[in-house]
Amino acid sequence: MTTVHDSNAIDDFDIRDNPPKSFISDMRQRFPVDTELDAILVRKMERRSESSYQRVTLDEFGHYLDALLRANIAGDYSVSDVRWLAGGASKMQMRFTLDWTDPERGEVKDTLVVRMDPSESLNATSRKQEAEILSAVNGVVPVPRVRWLDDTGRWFPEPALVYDFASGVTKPTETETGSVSGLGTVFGTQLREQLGVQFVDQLAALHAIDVNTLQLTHFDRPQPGTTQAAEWKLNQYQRVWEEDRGEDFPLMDVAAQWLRRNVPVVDHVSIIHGDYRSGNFLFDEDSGAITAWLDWEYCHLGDRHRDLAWATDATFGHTDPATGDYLVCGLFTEGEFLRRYEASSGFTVDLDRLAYYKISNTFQLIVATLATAYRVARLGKTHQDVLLAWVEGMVPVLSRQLLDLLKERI
Amino acid sequence: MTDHSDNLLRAVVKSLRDVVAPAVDTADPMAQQQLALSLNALEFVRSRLGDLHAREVFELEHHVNMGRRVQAELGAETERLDGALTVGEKVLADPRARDLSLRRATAAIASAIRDLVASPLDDAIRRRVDLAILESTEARVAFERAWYQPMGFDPDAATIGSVQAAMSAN
Repeated sequence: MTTVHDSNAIDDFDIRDNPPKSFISDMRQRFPVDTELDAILVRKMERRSESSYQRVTLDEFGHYLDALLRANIAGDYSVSDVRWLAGGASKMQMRFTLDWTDPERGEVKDTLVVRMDPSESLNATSRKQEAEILSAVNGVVPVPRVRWLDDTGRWFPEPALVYDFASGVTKPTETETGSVSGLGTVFGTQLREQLGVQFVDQLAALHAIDVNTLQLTHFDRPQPGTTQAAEWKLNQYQRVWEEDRGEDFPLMDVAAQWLRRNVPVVDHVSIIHGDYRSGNFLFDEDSGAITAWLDWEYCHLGDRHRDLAWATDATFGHTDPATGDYLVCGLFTEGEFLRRYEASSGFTVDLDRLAYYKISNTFQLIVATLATAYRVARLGKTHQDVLLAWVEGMVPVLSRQLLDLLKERI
Repeated sequence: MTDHSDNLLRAVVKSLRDVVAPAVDTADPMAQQQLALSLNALEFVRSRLGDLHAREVFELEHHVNMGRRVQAELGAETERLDGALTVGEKVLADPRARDLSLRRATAAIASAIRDLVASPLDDAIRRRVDLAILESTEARVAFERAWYQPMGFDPDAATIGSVQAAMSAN
């Protein structure tokens, strides 16, 4: 436990700008998490006092990419059409075209994306885990194929992965809706039905994958019939709250205690996307087909209710102007979403567990927007600190949601 | 001379919008997005300049109110919280209190409440303490929704009152 002096409580949070070893080991002891995530969080804290993010030019990025390609491609290749991609609040993304000889497909021209962490991200997550899950779910849900992984920052300044560019849009071209990261997108009646079916069926298919048949070497596996799935996630976000925040917030203290007292047992362990919502899938505007699910950085093995509750979050959907009903991810009412999910997956939806994960997810979102965004922007650790500072504006919306959810349960 | 921060920010926004923005590479989506966000951020701060001190006062008043409610539910001496509340009330009574003093007094109360919430409590007392915190938080949430409303994240914007109305609800 850190010492907080009454007279100067705000200054004590500055220890997080340059945390001593004792602070880091205290966090690990108090909040044990998945082994890979533990390594990521320790790395984050050990590098925190290093310099702020230094701008990387497209040319420099191209040199890093060339080093990776030279080490991984046997023959000649050429890179063209290199450009930054906008979107997302956490990772740097660059698109490029590669002419090369793939051992499996022969001479090909691929459009690819490099996805790299900034010095410190809004989400301290693992590229190893992301790459492993993308490979595991390929063929079950549409995802870009991973070509190469730089898990330690051997070629790039930070861990990175290279995967296929997926075509499609996150929202209708003709809409003005949707704020940063594609939140609150309005799809319109026809697309709503087309996308809604796929949204549910693909989530059901993801959750139905038998994790026991997969060779997942970078994940700890919570046991069915235990509280491990919920407990590990709570530990992770309480730990990040402790590591990153610059202030106390009594509502979060009450929430953390409630979550600890009510951790649910998981009946079936599934692959969890972690950020399953509109804004994170691409679709073809002509056919209405979902072409890819992106942003798997929150992926983990856990309770399906985590994804279900996440999709229903009020910041990801909007109210139907025709009926006044709240639409989950702009697609359907919550009742309809859950009914369709049960029908498609054969899994039941436990409303108590759903309520737990709604509280847990809102807690996580406040950790990211109030604590991590503050710390990372304060230390200038990313390529888009202004965006991180801006998402602080989501905190009152999330606080209101957490307040309402807790009032129903306390 | 009166404070001209508002004028300064207005000039910076105009300069960025009229001179810098047209020179930013239209093929660089990250630069375009960040310039737009930077302009929005400057406009937002400008709109709140006149209320920054009042916000610090509101935050401390809010925490004093919450602390007093928690104290009442505990029904026992709580040395840290009592001390922090006494300091908080003293700072509130000082019309010349600086923002940093207000902020430190607020932080001390929040820190004392955090330790109390984390301590072992009888179930019935815990429930009352939790409810006191939740009920007190309503005023803070109403205020923050009003404060950050120009950022456009709130899906229920029609129910948001003015910053001044939210402040006076403390």
